[in-house]
Amino acid sequence: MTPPHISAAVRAVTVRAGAAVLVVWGAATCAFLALHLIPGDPVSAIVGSNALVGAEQREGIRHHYGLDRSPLVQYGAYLKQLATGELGDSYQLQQPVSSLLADQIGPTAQLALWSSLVAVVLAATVTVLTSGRSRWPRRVSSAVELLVVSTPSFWLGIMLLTVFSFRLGWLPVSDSGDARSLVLPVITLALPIAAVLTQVMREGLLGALEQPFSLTARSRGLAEHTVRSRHALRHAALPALTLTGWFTGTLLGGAVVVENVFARSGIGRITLQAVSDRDLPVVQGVVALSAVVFVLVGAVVELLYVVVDPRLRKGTGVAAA
Amino acid sequence: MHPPHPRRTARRAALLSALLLAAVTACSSDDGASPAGQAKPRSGGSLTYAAQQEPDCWDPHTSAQDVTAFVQRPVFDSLVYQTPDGELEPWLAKSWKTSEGGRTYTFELRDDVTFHDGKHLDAAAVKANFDHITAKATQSQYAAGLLGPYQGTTVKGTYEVEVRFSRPYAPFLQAASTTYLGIASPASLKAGADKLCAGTDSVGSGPFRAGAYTRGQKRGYTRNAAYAWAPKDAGHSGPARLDAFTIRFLTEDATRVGALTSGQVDAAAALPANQVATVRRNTRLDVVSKNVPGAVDTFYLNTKSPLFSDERVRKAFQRSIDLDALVKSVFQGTGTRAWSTLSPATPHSYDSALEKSWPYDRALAGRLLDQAGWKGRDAEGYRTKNGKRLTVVAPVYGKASVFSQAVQGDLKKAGIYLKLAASTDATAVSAQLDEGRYDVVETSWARGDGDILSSFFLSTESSEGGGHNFAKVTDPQVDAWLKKAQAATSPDKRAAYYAQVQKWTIDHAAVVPAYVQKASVGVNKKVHGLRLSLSAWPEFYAAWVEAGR
Repeated sequence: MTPPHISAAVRAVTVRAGAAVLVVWGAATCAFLALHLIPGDPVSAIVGSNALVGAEQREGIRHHYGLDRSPLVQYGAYLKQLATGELGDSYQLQQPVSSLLADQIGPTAQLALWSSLVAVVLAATVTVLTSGRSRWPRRVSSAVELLVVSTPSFWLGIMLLTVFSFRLGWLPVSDSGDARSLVLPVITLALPIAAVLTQVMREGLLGALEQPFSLTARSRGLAEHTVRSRHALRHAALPALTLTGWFTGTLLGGAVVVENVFARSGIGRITLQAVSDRDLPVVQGVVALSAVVFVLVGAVVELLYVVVDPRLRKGTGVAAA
Repeated sequence: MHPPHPRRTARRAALLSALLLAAVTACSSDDGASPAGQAKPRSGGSLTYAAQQEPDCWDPHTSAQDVTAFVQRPVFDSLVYQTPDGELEPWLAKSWKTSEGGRTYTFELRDDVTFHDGKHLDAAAVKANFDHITAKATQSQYAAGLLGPYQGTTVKGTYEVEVRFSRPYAPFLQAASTTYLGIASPASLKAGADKLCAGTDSVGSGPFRAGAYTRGQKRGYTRNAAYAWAPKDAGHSGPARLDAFTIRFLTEDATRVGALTSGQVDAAAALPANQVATVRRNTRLDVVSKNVPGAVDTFYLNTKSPLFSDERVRKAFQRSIDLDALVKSVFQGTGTRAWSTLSPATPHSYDSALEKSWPYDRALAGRLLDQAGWKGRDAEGYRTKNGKRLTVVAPVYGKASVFSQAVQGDLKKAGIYLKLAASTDATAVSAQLDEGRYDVVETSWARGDGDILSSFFLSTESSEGGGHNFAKVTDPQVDAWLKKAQAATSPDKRAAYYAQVQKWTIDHAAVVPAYVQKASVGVNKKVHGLRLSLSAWPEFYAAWVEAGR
């Protein structure tokens, strides 16, 4: 006989895993539909505009990629590939999409992780520093945040390059192999995220500082900054965590811009190329990969909720509301 | 939290990018060190070149991309070398002779050539390459087409190889000089399409070996110390002077130009028109540029369409566009007005007699349109006939270029409506082309041989067949000239036939050649000998850099 709490855990894991599979399947299906509903002959995309290719050879290419089969058969084959982790061969690069993505995930993950870290640290610092009694640091900070959020990453990246690379020569323009080449792209990606996070966290922090527990902490003689960073920030972190999903999306989208401006390798770089070349297998692969990343990030966020908020550890579900 | 308002962001982006241009311009007018004196060529050192595009597939036997031919040129040698002036001379082949009226080519190969993997070049290696190009599995998008009426290759001796065609095919020698027909080590050809395309298994006999490649970033090249078979006019002999060089893929114009002006790269390709003057003013930099050979940007008029089957209307269209003014304003000196479909840079084929022979003449155009019955005017000032507007339909794949839009504006003054039917629907556009449902197609095609005319004007080169006879010329005389040019063995004879074709297409207003593209490369003055090939791509073999700068 299985103890009831274990079977509950098994059920919870099963439900989660099922939901994860559904998310990935849904995203993959949407990508398949979207790409097949776009008018246009994929063979034209495969051979490109420069090709000297006759009708017979076109048919050969169509057959090679299975494009002469019915959409339903193609969809079935695609799902089968997806289930086995195979994502087909790129039309343009003629390489397996799975190994292509595996090659490119490293630089993008590095960029994304550093950007998240910088964004979170920056947001937490600014939040704690600007949530005091005085109003003007908050106003200045809000204005700067708004400016940063509404600045296109492309422009931000080029501006940083122009000043710190082209003019001052402090940092290299593109990947030179050392850590210095990571600085500007990370700042470009982290700044807008940090700006949004700061706004959300500050609101949470100000709310928490008015709660009775803050008063208690203060009455125990804790310094104001300790109250803010040790106690109240924890409360502010919850809505910020919720934002992490959005954040992941920003990172993937931002990577497209940043990797191109800074001439870095990565998923963003091949995504842009694949979209403009209509390299369907690569685009579908990127969508599937993004879905998996979202599911994983979602799971990590849930775990972090429990770490940040002790009330959730009892699992009653009441305190979480 | 509110996401940024999309409309405001878009407006802001437009505003900011205008500012950005100003910032970059200000930045690149930096004064640098004074130019070096007459330094002597030296061996050693390395340089970095920024390319604006990265190849999808690195196998020149497969890819049709210009950039593939460029990035693989240092690695793969060819049987024949084409000098920057367009002359053909021996390279891996010591000599060649043609027989059977130009249907068979026999090459005598050099006996001292080794590939980067230590294997020896022989006749069997050449056969293995041509077999690879024409194999179905290679899915060649260009190289197999360059072989034209190819029949087969026979090994005649260790260093003697025979290439056979089903009809006389003179353009073959120039085709054999391209990287697309470059000779790879036969062992490497067995690596498989994915490896060859990935560029990780590029093994040739060139002056540089393929080094590490990071997709999205750069590819390295290292000197082949054993190299001793450079063509006579390569500008140098023996091993290359540079120890190594790197091609970086900087696709953003602003990034590439900034990297050049700040000295982070030694040369940069494809300077945008509005940056050429700025780079030129920088005392540390030079601009080298060259006209691109082949078929220039041309409007091909559908001589079979209801509108353009009337030669008077075609001629009116041809003479209504003030190309001198348009080209000057749109390209700011980085393109020149064209007089023939062929670029003046195309060897042994350009007909300079056409220059100034069909100047802009709106009065003549007006008279011709009156004669053809397009006498009325509608509310917007366009000419009409039986109440129908004079509309010229131009299918555009993707987005209409700034130049096409300028032409559209100019034609409006003559009462002609150029309808730029832009679509990203590849099927629809190809169907429209295949079925001839258009009046005009604007396109260009780079190639270092006048035979490019065959693909545009042979009656058999229809759009459905993969050809480009967009003007739908089906003239026995034109076919005869083009076939005779393909069969003729003397360059002068070929040039004479090509001149006749060029004149015919202008006289019959089958074309309106628009502009000759110019490739502009920005180069740091410490780099010497980086000359442009016939196709206007840099050649790294003879290049060198000054020491300690």
